[in-house]
Amino acid sequence: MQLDPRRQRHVPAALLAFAAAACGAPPEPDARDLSGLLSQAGALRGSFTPAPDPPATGDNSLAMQLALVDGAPLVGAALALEPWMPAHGHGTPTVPVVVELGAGSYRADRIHLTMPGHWEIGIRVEWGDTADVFILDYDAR
Amino acid sequence: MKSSARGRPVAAWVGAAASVALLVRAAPARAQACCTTTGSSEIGVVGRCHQGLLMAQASYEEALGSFDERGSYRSLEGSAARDATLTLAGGVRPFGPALQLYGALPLRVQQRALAGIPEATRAGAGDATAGARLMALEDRMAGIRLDEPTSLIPFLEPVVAVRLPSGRAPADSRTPSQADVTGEGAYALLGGVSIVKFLTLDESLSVTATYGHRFAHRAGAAASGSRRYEPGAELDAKLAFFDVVDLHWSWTAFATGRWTAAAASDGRPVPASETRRIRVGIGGARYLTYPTWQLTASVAADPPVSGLSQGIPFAGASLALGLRRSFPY
Repeated sequence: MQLDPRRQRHVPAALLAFAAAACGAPPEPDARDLSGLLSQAGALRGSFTPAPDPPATGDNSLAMQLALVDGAPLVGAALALEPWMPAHGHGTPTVPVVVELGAGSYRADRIHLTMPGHWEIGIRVEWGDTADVFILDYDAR
Repeated sequence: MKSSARGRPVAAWVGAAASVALLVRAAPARAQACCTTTGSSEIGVVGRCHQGLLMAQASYEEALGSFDERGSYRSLEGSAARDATLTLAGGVRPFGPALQLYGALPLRVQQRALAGIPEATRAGAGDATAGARLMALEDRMAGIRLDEPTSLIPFLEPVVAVRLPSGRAPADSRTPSQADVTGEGAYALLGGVSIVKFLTLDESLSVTATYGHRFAHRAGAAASGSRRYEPGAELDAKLAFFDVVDLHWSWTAFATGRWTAAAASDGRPVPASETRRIRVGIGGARYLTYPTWQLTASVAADPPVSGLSQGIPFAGASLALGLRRSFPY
């Protein structure tokens, strides 16, 4: 007995089944709260406001309010930011620029997120002989 | 009686001529079928009844949205990613029909327009692929007959390949939008199998699956220094249906899937770094000059359905046109 190809119209259905079998329902996204974060070594507290908010593909800025854990504003610190896409293992060619605004306020510009997805913004903070790091989770749209 | 007696030979001759005509037509149609279903859907792969192949394929892909790490689909807003690729490929069966060697090199032109970042268009080579396939089993291409178990035997070809980091890696990018990133920056070793089964004389199903090990490499940037990044293993699969309409025309419908396992950075797994990409498409092929010059065309797309794919920054639709020059035995 020979199968008639003209009657194998279930083939497109098989292709769809192949696609459907490979997927699952997406869970609900988490909210990203960037206020009152503790640095990795526990020496600093920081509140962060991205612009645009939520972060988007393209050029982004970040307003930062930094303080020592005793509440004193952190002044005169040197900050270095690095956008990093952990799932893809790459950063960006553009180095963000940071300016100090005074009273513990800092602002970073030229945060270039080159594609949608999950990014980590690494912020290395140096003051005196001390250094600490914040890692912010961004979901760029 | 006489007229009836004369009619019988005439009918017999007509019948015989028709049979010959059908046989003549069927033979090249089957030859076309074997070459189409065993070659033309994959870049650089030589068809079963050919000794060699040179081809060029031009494709254009427009990003329309993205799938985040949870699988949610979002339309692309305020940015654009457009890729044009010219892939040069070829293959040869150097020692007879069983073994073939093939390779492909994509040349890419990429445009990125991202909000607040200078728009850029950059060109460069992508990651090249070279591989070998061995014909381990051969389908008789007569279709499946349940009273004939040997008719169930498909074409079966183990595949090994290597992907070379000939494209520009993200770590080497010099363009703010990363329009110049044309490669992964890592070697990959691929192994798998290709199975083609003729359901009938002119319709077949094809399944190709490859596992890829992507080697670790250094990655990093200014603030954090160098990191050892280990991309997750990849699994690629393609399911295709072929229908050879006649000597010159054929069409196909296909679905592709690509899964990558979790990556690791400095030895630690990266959370939510698994990816999945499901695409569907249709295509057609036409011999301009049988059996040497063939034109192929296909369209494919990422269905914009949340949960179907995951962790894909740029998803969209693509169009491809190819010109193949085959070299028969």
